[in-house]
Amino acid sequence: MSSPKDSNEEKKGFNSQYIGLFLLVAAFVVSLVVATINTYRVDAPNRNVIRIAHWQLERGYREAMQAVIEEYQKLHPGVEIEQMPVTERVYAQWLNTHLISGTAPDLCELGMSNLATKDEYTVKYFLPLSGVITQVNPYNADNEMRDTPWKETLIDGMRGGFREGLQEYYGVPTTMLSMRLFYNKDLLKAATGSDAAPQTFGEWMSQCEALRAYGKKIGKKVVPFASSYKMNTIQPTLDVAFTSSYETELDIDLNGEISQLEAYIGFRQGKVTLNDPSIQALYTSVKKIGDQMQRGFSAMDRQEAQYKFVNGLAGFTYTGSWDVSGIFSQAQAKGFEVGICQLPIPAASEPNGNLVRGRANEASSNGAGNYGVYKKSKKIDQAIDFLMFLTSRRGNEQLNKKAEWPPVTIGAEASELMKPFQLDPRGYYARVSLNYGSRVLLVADSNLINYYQGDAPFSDFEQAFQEVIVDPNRGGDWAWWYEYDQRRRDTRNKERLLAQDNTLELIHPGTRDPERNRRAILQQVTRNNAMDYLWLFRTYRQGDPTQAWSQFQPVFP
Amino acid sequence: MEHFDFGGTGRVKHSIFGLCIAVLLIGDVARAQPSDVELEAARQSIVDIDWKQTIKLYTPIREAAAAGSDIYTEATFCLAVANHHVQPPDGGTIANAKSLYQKVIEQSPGGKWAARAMMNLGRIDELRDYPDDVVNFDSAREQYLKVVQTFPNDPIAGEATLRAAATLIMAFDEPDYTKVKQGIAMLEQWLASHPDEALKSVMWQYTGDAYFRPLADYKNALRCYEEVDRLGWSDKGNQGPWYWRSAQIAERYLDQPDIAAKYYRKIIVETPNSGKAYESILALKRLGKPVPSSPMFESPVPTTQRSNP
Amino acid sequence: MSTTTTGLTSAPAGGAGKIHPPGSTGTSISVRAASLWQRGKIYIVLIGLMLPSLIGLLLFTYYPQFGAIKYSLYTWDGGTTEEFIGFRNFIEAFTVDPLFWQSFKLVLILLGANIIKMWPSIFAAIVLHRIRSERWQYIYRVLFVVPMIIPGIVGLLVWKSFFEAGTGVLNAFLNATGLMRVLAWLDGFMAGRSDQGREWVGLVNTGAASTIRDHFTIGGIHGLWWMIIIGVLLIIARMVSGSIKKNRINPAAPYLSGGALLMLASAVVMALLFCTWPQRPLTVFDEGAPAWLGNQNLIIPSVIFWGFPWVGTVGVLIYLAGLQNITQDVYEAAELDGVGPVRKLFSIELPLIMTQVRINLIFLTIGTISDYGFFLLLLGNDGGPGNKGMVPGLYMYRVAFLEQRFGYACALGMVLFVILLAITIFYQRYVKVDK
Repeated sequence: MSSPKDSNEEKKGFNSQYIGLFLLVAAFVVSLVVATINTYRVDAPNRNVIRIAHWQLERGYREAMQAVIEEYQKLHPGVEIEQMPVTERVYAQWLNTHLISGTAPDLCELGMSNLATKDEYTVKYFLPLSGVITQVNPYNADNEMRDTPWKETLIDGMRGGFREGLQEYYGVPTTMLSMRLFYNKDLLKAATGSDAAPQTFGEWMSQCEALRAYGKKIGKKVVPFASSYKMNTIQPTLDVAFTSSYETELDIDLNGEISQLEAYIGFRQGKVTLNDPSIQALYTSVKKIGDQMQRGFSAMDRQEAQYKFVNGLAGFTYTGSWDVSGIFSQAQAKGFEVGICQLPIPAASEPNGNLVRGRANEASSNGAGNYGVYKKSKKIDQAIDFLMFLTSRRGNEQLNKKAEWPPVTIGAEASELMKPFQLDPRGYYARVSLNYGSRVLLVADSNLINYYQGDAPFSDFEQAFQEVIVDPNRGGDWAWWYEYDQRRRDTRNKERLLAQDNTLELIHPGTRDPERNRRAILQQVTRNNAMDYLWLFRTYRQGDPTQAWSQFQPVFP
Repeated sequence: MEHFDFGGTGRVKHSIFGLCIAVLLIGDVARAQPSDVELEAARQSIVDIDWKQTIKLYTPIREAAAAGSDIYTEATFCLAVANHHVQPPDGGTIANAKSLYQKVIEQSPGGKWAARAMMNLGRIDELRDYPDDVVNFDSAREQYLKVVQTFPNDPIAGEATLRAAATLIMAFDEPDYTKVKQGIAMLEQWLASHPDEALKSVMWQYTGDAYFRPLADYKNALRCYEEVDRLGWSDKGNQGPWYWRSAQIAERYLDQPDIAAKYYRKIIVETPNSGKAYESILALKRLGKPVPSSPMFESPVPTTQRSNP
Repeated sequence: MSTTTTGLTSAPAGGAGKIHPPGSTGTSISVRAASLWQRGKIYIVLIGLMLPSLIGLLLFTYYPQFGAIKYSLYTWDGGTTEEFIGFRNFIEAFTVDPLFWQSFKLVLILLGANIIKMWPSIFAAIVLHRIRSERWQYIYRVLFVVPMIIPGIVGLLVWKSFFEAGTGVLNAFLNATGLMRVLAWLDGFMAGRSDQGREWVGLVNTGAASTIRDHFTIGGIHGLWWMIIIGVLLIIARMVSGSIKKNRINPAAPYLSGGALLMLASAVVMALLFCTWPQRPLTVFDEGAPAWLGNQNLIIPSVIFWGFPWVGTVGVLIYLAGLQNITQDVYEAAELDGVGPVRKLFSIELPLIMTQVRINLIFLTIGTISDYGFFLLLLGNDGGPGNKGMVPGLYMYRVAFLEQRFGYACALGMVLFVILLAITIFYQRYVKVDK
């Protein structure tokens, strides 16, 4: 209990408890003033301000974006572009707040937030771009793409910004991503006498062996190859190399790729088996890579793999263009040189080389760093114009050269550092993946990794795979039904979009984008309500799908 | 000062009173005639694909609008669409949608709303709207054909024909494929008699697909795809797989290397990011045909080595 | 309950104003009403104060849970597709989804292990409770609280780094102490002779068991059976000596109990090893750098070892709170009866903190069965090599986010909820709390 005297003293003196309240009020007032000024500044009738928000705080990106902005502002003296970099951690919350309150930037990087990724929200907050991306990009007037539609001037044909569920383009990609093999030149030279990049798979494996021997010689635990992501990023390249030639046999719909369903049908028909020389060669080759990795590498994460590489404890690592700045700066600090090359595949003269068709091409990769246009923006045309500049050959080259990212615009030159990451369109496309359906994948992948790690023989994987693939409740037939069911739902979902399109056309005649409408009708009608899946089952599995799938679905059309 | 304040308060009081009266009056008028603001909000809900909101906003508009007026028909139709597509769908919402579409047809027979309402009734029959919904292709086809008969000169007739043909093609009735052939014939007849059909490219592509699968009639499939190519592809930029299919049919099944080469070239030039451009170059070389240039292949092979800068 | 004579409590359910208690008047009613209002005001204020929390609880905790119940009856892809399908998700879970039920195998193992792993916390709390110096007790309590301020993810990453194959502390320790060579020998020894004998006491069926049998059979009886027999004999001896020295201190008792415990525990551990050691040698210890989280046979032992010595901060503090509720006179009475420290543990402390043990057991069970984040971060969405780390929660995560079947995942969640509820009821009923 405090005495009256004490309380009197308290009354007279400054009560420190009010500091917090004071700070809170002060912060609130300052925020209010700043927000009001900003709102006035941005929305002032005599000013033309475009705001662009992103979460790319990597070294160089903001500076690169600023350089492009300045270049654009020189061309358009009355326009001001304001860059709003927001940390990745709070981008979602920040964007959500602004989208809902109607104060979002004119251009927003799409991602992180549900409101910018889920179809039902995207349609509400972002502008469909079909109408503009088919026009030419005026900023390409100085090159041979002057008559090419904007969409076609990007390496990925703007697929990175396409929303399948909405049948519409909502984003414009600004960069590409690719993965490469990094190697420690100094370590390689010390181990092999040369720092030349491996040209073939056999050469790479020999270098790995030399690195292992060198590590033993100097008494240091050198892992020849440190990589994360298990084998998920490496295997597709070898998949294509060894199994692309199955296309002639397995591609039923002649669309140039082997879908997982087609691979499963082929497997059931005996056209492809685990014991085929090509399939065996594929698994053996991946196993050889596994042998050069740390035992139990599946537990190794990306940071750990990079830690080993930048500390000179690994000769090679496999990662993407996004890691290049970090790896190079750390390697520089440690005093060794880094080389970058494509993942080698076996040459014709090497073991299994006769089974290799060629390398995988990267032409069909999708762009990244997609920017969408906020629907409630008051300067939509200006925002789109800036986006066009950003993805013109000149603008995109400037952005990505300075940011050290691979460019997305056709013909835009990459920085010296990014040249090894330029997508290689030379190579094959189709590949066989027998892991049909998530349940087969679950079992097959986790057993295959045991084989790759040297913890179990191939026969263990084979047994597990053969068991699961024919299991009616989780094998290929289940996956087939699941795909059928998904396709049917997808058709039904597309009907909602069409209904919206048709209704709005009735309310405001002549406002419908006829191309978008035709595309949506085509996409829907060619899906045949998934009835072709039933036909495929009858034809290739020679059974009644309604019987085989009755446990998953009681009613069929 | 005090007096001024009092007067100010009085004015405020009067203003509030006036505002209340105005709101009440507006509300009263609104009940008789939906305001533009309400209508705009309801229409916006369709732009946002927010069907629950559509039901919420269009219901009072329909109640307020005079029966038979344009607004009334619009509201009835939009309520039907919203019931048709609101999540989660069930027998009740679909039955509501059917009844509302029917009302639209009765209210404005021969109007634009009625045409789409009839089409949508067909869509309800054709698609599985909720888990135990049994689809009925025959009754869907009846609806579509009714649209064609009632609105033969409206653009919707083409879409109805496409949908009607699809209900036949989707039967996949092996071994004779009678229905599939009927569907194809229906489309070809329509295309022959309607050269200006807005959906002709879509129709040719779909006919080509039906010839290709399940009929395995590669010659006719290629003929259809050739027609699509002449007219222009509807899903521009994503036609790569059809180019590849056409090239494969021409080269592997019909022994028509020139046509195959044409499509290989198109892949390189028009859809270089389809993933098949490199193989198309190889195919052209194999066929001894000239290879076109493409900016994508003009870039050098990614460097395989570099030093630390 | 004693009956009261106040009008408020004696008023029948029909309402206080309908029947007046004897001697009451209109004035007294109004006085009572005023008093009721006075009391009511307090409740109104209290309810008002509680309301924000209550609304928050309903909105952010219960509403999503009810959402899960609703969506378990739907096909829902987390986005646009949403269809009511009744109990079909549940039928699928019970009839055609073997993977979900397989994932319970690991949970049962972990539950068993976690029940054992909760004992170090109990003992730590008792030791802490018995520290006589208040100052030191305070210091230790603070030391136990400090780890609570470290984010869970940091602890997880630190432990992950312990297990790292190349640079991890665990491997460094095993290599430095020579234990790695012991493990390498054990590996070869346990799995080396799988062709010989397939039966061991009709229980264990591995080659390792037969190897042990060959080495440790004494007088025709297997070594492990000898350990069990000795353990049982020691228990009998403890009981007999207790009855002879009735009401007197038995100095041999702790040794007999301890010996029995050691024998039986060793037998159980060895039997478990024989049951679980794989047929083939692991060959991962030879190079001195086993990947504890990257080998299918080492994942479960690693997860069990995780957090060693298993003295959980929160657990210790909860037990300590329970122990501090034991009044001093209970100890004094025990000391007068000549009760030793071990007897105090089993006769006073453990029985009197059973409420805390039960609550921790419930939390532990809920945590073990519903956890998935730990396994996802550590082993990926497939539960690591051979799906060895696949728990029901992780399977649910896969179904929701990889298969995009959120409705089905909600149904699996509901099944988990019912299982957890059943276990909690079981604990409430059968984990005795004797005050």
